[in-house]
This record gives sequence, C-alpha cells and structure tokens, in this order.
Amino acid sequence: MVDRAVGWLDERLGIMPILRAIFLRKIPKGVGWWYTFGSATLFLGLMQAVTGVFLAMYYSPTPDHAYDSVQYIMDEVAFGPIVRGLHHWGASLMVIFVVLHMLRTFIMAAYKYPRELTWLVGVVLLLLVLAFGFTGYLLPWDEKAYWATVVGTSMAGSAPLVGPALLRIIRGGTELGAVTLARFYAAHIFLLPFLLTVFIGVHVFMVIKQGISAPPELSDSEGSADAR
Amino acid sequence: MADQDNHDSDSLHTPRRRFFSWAIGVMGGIIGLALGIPILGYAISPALKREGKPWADAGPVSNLKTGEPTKVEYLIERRDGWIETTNQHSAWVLRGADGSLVAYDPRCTHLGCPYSWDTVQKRFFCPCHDAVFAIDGAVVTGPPPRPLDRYKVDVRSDRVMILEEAPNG
Repeated sequence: MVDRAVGWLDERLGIMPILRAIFLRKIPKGVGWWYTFGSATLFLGLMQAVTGVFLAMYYSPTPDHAYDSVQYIMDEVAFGPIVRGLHHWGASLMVIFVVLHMLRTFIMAAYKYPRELTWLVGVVLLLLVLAFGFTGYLLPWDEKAYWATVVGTSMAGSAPLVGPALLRIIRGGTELGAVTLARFYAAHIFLLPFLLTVFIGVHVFMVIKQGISAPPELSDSEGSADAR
Repeated sequence: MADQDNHDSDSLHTPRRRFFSWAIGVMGGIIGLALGIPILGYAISPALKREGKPWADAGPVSNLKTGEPTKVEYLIERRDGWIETTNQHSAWVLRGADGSLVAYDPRCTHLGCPYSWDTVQKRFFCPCHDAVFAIDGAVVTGPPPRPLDRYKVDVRSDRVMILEEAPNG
C-alpha cells in the first residue's frame, strides 16, 4: 500500500530518483555500527522536537509561572512525566551521540577532501546542540537552572574585551530575570530550531550527495575507494 | 524482464529488501505508537478533566431577609492550570416564609450582565437590555431565553453555603 502511495506521488512529482538516492544509495564495504551515530543523532533531534512541541503546550516562560507550569506537567497532565522525561534525557543523549558521531568521523578521517564542508557544518551543528542544552536548562527556573545560568553567562562575561557586553546581551540586562528567561525560551523554541533545520538540511544533503566515505584501511595499500 | 527487475541492484523488490522494508516499517510503527499514545494522552488530558468545586461560605443565615432576595458575597478559589486565584463572587438568595432557600446565579440569562433586585417594584431588573424577572426567576419581559439559573444552596452551622452548580431536580 505504501508502494501505491509512492507510485501515485511519483507519477505526479517524479520523486523516485530522490527516494532512490536516499534509501537505495550505495555504501562502501566495511561500514558497521560506528556509522549509525549520525542517524541516531537525527532521530534524537526529531524526538526532542516532538516532545518539545508538546511540552510547550503547558509551559509558561515567565518567572511567576515557569516552575509551577513544570510542576503542573509533572503532577496534573496525563503522561506528563514521560514526555518531560523523554525531553530531559533525550537532551543528554543527543549531546553524547553528537560527540560520538564527531569522534567517529574524526578518527576515520572522513572530514578530508571532498568532505571538508560537511565537517564544518557539523561543527556548527555541535555548537547549536550545546546552545539548545544551555537555553533549555534555564526553563524550569529552579535553583539549579538559575545558578547554572548565572555561572554560564558569567563565563561569557569573562571573555576579554567583549565579555561584559556579551554578558549583558545574553542576559538581557545585568542580572538574570524575566528578560533572560523570555529570550532563552525564544532562542530554544524559535531561533535555534530554525537554524538547526537549515544546517541539518545542508549537512544531510552533502552526505547523501557525496556518499559515505570508506572505512580507513589498516594495511598500507593504496587506499580504499569511496562508494559513489 | 521480470527476473532482471528482481536482481537489479537499484530495485526495491528483491526478497531481502522487501523483508527489511517491511521490518523497518513495523519497528517504526511500534516506536511511533510507543511515543504517540502517551503524547496524544498528554495533549488531550486537560480537555477531559472535571474539577470538583468546593462549597463556599456566603455569610451567616441571619443576614438573609425573608420574602425578599438578599445579595450574598463569597470567595471562590480558582485553579487555572498552574495559576491559583481568589475571586469574589455573588449570588441572590431568597428565603421563603417556610425557611426554604433558593440561590440565583447573578448573571442575566440573556447575555450575562449582572441584574439587581428592585425593592420598589419587587422584581429583578437587568439594565443591559431591560430584562425583568419575577421573584421566582421566571422571565416577565425582555430578551432572556430562560428563567434565572440557580445554584445549590445549603445551611451548615448557621452559615449559608453556595455551590455554583445547578440543583438536581
């Protein structure tokens, strides 16, 4: 039945070449579980997006109500602890997997020609994931969230020359408060998802277009050819 | 040729690829359900909640006039999600000669304006659209579609108690 739906779309839009490029693409010999970390990161990102959308239905981003709204999710909403828990632990897993993916790519030298740009976009994606973690951490507005953000923004403030200005820009003032919470929330649900989507799109496009690089050979032969 | 089709390296229709497509679909479906059912319950649950309301203390019974409605005031605690507020509400309570009590919702049944008791003409009058109700809540004249709504009322320890729900029967 999926076949028929795909056929219907293909008759009108000619999507089969695209689907073939994605799902029937050639991969080199010797790839294994190490190569799954990128897809795992993407799946976690998708799960964070979905759980995040639903958390946003009950969360209130003001100092007056942030903490209470999270308690409401935990105590009053059906499956609230599950949805919040997925988002909480998913965040940590996402950082772990994005680092594992980066390590795998680095160790296997898959960043080399012609994949330099893919690596650079990957660096941007890593920073975006860390920014997601930092902005999301403040939102429960409990003691841990508040003081962790004081410390983190103070670190930014210790940078030479631009530090103090940077601190005031990030906090939205000299102190942490309602303005900070509002702009961290706007970043977390609006700006960062938008940027993440754009850069993931570029990253995945290039990976598919160029193909997976072959695992490095341990022997000193002339080197393995990429599957293309 | 059909045989070529099943062995073409670009084809989706080799037996192994058909099996893996199917297996991935099933696993995806299971993951989708495992995530989707809790999330759906999560999104819908406030719509299915019925919050029980507590009775409110509306003052001593001795405040009530007999044969004429008395306006009583009481505090209602409201929970709006995670926000708790305390608001002052009012109701008209009529004590009959036999001691029976009726409590009227103070909102006109036309469009919700607060009406008042006219002590001279012995009737309820709503200034918004000139509605008139009799002492038993029936519509005398004006646009209201039904008589005055009622609240549950009780006396406990000589206190008038109001519950903002329609009385049974």
